[in-house]
Amino acid sequence: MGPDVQTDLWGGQRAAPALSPFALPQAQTASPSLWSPAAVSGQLVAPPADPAPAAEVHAQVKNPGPLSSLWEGAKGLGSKAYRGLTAWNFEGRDAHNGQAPTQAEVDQDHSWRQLGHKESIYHDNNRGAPERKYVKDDPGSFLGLGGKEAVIDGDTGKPMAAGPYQATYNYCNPAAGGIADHSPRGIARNLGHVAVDVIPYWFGGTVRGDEGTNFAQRVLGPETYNKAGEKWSGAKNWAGSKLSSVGKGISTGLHGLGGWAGAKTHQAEPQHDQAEPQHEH
Amino acid sequence: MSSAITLLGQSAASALILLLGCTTATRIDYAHDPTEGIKTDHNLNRAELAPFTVDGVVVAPLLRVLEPQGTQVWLTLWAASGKTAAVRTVQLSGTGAQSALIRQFPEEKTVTTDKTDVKGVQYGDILVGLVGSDALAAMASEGRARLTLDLRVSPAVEYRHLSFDITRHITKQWVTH
Repeated sequence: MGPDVQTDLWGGQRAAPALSPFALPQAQTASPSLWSPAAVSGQLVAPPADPAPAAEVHAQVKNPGPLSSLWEGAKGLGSKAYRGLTAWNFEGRDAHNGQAPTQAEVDQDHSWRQLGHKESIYHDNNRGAPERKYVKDDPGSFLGLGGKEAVIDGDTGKPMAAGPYQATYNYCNPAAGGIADHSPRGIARNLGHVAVDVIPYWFGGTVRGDEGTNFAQRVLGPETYNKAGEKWSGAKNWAGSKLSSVGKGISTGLHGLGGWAGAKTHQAEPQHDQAEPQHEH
Repeated sequence: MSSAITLLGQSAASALILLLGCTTATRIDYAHDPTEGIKTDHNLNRAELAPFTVDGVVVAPLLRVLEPQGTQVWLTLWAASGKTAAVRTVQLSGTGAQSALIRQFPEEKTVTTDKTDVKGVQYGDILVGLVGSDALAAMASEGRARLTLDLRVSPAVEYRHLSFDITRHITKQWVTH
């Protein structure tokens, strides 16, 4: 599971600018375009006998044209707006959740409820021992719906305080009775949790940029994603080997057919050879 | 071609999960149902709490499943005002055919209801001890286990015997984030 490069919609994280839909290909800086400054376009059509010094060309490329500046400005505004609109999902959750508690603190406070392994798949890094996830109601939250989380690394026993598997505040804790809780409050809690906590995670990840995971990993959980990937590879290999053997069969059949046809030709040729001497006689 | 097929497969798997709307997991919890609701309704006057009330103090057991440590046995004492209580001879046992399975916590412990919840009800907690999750699962294999204890609330000197039926709950849960 290599770290896939993920970028914010508006390029908040510039891990791989070449992959961003807003990154211009390198060639565009040296070719006439609406996005290039007029001077650069003009320079490019100038006769080769009077080439501009390299430093001058470099300076002209650095100097953006009006449309390019406009585009950069729009990108900046978009990035700012995106950050503002998603702050509740990243910085907001961190602020509500507070400092990550230690295992000892969790053990001594029974209001922390441990969740099962399958319930915690979104916080399991799929390395070594499984991570341990705890939730606790937050009575001071809006309508008392919210809840804090703690995630302890299964290998080190230390809190996972940062990164794509860190604890995240729930704006709506799911019903303690689970899916079977069909009371209005239970249904509201379960649906609310999916709507305001789970789905935003699927699309935005746990931390801004969420370099560690991709969309499919977020939906399935890293462990299920890896297992699904292995099964998919196995199925591909199986299908590939079957297709290959079918292809080999067809090839062998065709070869056999060719051989048979060749043999027929060869059989016909001696008759012809034999006929000729007869003809000579 | 191969990566396109992989991408298509991943997208299909993701879409399936999206359509299903959730991923679920099964969880086993143990609870004393009559006193479980105090945390949410903050009402100590319900008639069903009478058998678990001594001198104005309601005793609510809490079995907290922790992996890999085991299951913690807690007692939360609820009262309308600050009270001091002592608990001893706590015992967890199976029921029916499993009644021979017993775990004892003989140590006497004292607690004061000096914390206040959001509705102004006061409470105090006692960590009685730890029981192995496998042992508890065996005790409650018929659906319930029994917790018994002796409790007195100061200034009384006589202990009162209390008994709680701990019910096993198997629930389907959403995968949380």
